[in-house]
Amino acid sequence: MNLSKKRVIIGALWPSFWVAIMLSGVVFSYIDPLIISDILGFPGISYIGAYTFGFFFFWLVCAWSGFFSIIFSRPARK
Amino acid sequence: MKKTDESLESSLFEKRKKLFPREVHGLFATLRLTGVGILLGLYYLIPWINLNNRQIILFDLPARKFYIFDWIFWPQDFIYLALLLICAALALFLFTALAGRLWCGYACPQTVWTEVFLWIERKVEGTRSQQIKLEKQAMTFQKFRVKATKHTLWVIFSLITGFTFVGYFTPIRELLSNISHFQLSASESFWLIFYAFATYGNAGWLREQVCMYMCPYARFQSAMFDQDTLVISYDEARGEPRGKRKKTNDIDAKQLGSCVDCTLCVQVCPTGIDIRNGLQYECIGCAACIDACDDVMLKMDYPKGLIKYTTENRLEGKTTHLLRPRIVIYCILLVSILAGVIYSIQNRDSVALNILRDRSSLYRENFDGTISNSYTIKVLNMDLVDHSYKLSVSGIDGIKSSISKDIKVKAGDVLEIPMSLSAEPESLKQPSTVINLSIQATDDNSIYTKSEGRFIGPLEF
Repeated sequence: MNLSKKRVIIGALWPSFWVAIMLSGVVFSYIDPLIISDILGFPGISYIGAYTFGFFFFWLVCAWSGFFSIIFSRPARK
Repeated sequence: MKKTDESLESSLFEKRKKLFPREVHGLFATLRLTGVGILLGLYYLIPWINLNNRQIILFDLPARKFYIFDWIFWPQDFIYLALLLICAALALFLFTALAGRLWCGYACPQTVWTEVFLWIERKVEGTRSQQIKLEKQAMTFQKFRVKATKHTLWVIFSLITGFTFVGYFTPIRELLSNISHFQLSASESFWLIFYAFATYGNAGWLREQVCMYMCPYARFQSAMFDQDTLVISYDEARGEPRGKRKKTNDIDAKQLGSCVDCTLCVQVCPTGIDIRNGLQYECIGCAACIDACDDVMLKMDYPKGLIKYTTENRLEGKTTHLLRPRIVIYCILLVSILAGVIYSIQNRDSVALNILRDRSSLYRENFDGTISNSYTIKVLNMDLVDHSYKLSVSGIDGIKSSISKDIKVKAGDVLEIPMSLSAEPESLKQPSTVINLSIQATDDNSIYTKSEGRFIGPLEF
């Protein structure tokens, strides 16, 4: 596997960063993040903390998808 | 677009050559600096401006309320923010179709902050040639001192930028006092440093690479271009063949064009391209080359405008049309969406009523024979002034509410109150009856809203 650092950063981390911002906006407008953090067992977390965790969770998930897009966009035999 | 995808791909793997954009003065540099001043001034000052005892722009995440001037946006108003973003995108399309990369050259945060970083760099390291000389030198104490000063100033400026960013989400005065008492919360410190780091990295180190490799707009902006879009272009017919000369030399005798090949247009370019090679996707339309070239033309006593804002049509000797179908369509879309958004924001309900049934019990039989249900009601006052509301219930004959007084809710507040409703069993026609609740502001007839709930009674009659 020959993935350059730039490819991973620009192809996976960067677009997912923007998508994560949008997702955080949409999702947390309709769902109070404290309700989720209570269910997950982090009572007492601050609002900004909950938003921060949510944002990074979205970023990670989207970056994961972007990372696989990069892998699958190249021919298998190489 | 001169470069093909392949050469772009390979340039991704090329080692970047550090650029030292030369300082430029002139009409467009003044315009850009004015833009930088206004935009950065707004960015750094807005959080400090208060209106009605709160910041005029505050994205209050803990309270789940966004304050923008006189407007308060609640989570249910998300659609307005989405529509405003669509308006912003449409405006960007419109300006791109009209004047090319106007946004990139004058208003993009990347350009604006890079401009400040370049300014700091010039103050510390000197002119372009001094910077290049310093870069080639081996590390000495003197060089280290200069570099360290530059980076320290960059970091301080970035931290102020990060602090201001967090100040849009946490009241900035509180934030400042928290910092001075070392009481910043973990998330606040994180976002402050994150934003500062992004500023430092993007404006200090990455610079033109952000525009070339990271910016999605740079990749698709050419789709908005047409033959009548304003672009920065070198007048090849007039300039070529280029060549060095003394001012007194006769051009015609030497068979030279107007370009004196001084390469100043290349030296001032923040993305390091040669505009004389034609329109390139790296060009952010900052017009630095126009200023530089006009200066030289003036010194040579040649007419200005060897490099200038022009359109492809004009270059080919045709006429330029301002009004084109795409301009008209963008304008119509933009104006109608914007008008719709502003109208509906102005006419939002300024009160909301939510009713939640108490889940622990279905109903209760009271000693006087009546049936009662318990609820929690939430009243949101989305107006800018305090109000008292009168609650009324209907749907069952003779239904009575435990709330008899007016409900007072402060401006921008949510009030949760327990409520019990009771009814005579005879008036219940079925086990579950729909009831209608409505509230009406006592001081303003136009502030009114209603909501539906259910009243549960015994199963048998």
